[in-house]
Amino acid sequence: MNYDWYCLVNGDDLEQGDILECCPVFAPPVDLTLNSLEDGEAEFTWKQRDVIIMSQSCDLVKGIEKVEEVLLCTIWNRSELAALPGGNLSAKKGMEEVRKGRLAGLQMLNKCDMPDAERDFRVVDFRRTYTLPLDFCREFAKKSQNRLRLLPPYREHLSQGFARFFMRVGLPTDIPSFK
Amino acid sequence: MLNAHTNTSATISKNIILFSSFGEVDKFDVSQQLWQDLDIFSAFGFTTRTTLEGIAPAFDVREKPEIFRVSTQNTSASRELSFAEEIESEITQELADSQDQSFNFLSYTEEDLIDWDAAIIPPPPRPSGTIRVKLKYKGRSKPFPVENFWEE
Repeated sequence: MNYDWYCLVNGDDLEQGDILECCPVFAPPVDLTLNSLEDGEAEFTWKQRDVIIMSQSCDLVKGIEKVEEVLLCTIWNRSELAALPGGNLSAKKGMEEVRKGRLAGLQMLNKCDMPDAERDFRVVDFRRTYTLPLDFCREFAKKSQNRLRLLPPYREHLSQGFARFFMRVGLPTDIPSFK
Repeated sequence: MLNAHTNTSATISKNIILFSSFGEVDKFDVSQQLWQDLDIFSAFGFTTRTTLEGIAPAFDVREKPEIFRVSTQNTSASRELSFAEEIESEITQELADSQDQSFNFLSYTEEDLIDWDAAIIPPPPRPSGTIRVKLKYKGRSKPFPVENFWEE
């Protein structure tokens, strides 16, 4: 039996695991103050990101939406990671660490071999989360043809990884090793 | 060898519980019978564990031994049923080793541990810019209206 990682979708139906490529995300200026709000204008930065929807699918169902904004996590291409100083993460050893789940803040997505949607291995970055208005995401998705959707159980696995990372607890004083 | 001791002790404990279900008369008789049987079994090179397991089924509460001698003292068997010393028996050790499997822990190395702090810093460069926005005050946000909250 073949358990595909992805399928291609069109339209503005959104589900957890939907990948939006080259999607703009916005950040308010760091010096945004209440005075700026009174002024009525501010300069936001925007960045282009490949993102994957982390919000639960049931919250995004048309007509019975339970959220106004969609939670997104950044996806990095392996080639982008190679361009970083050191580039260790994109090397075999680094990718193997991610694949095995040893880097809690990162999770690997399988490569995609579907015609016209070929993608290399990618890495989801749980530390870079964004929210965008649901309507904005629908509009963006509608304009994106043949976008990739991560399929079960891989999307649940991704969601579980995110949950595990988010709920991590560091102990101020750990129990010494028994070595 | 510790496991051999543990396993044998556990077997003996079971037998002692069985013995304790007997009356005082039975205890004495059992110990006598046990001691005799131990001698016989050891003569043939049986291990203590094997011996005890071989003897135990023979002591059915319903089947009272034929010899009756009243005594409330500790029997020789009750004193001897302690195994602080190592048990030299290949068969027992083999059994112990097989039992030991359930106590094996997986060995973890540093490489197996999860790195919670790993982060991609700085992020890979992507197109970015600034956008001038007008801020509209829409009032304090309200909870998202949901009807029949518990029904999806």
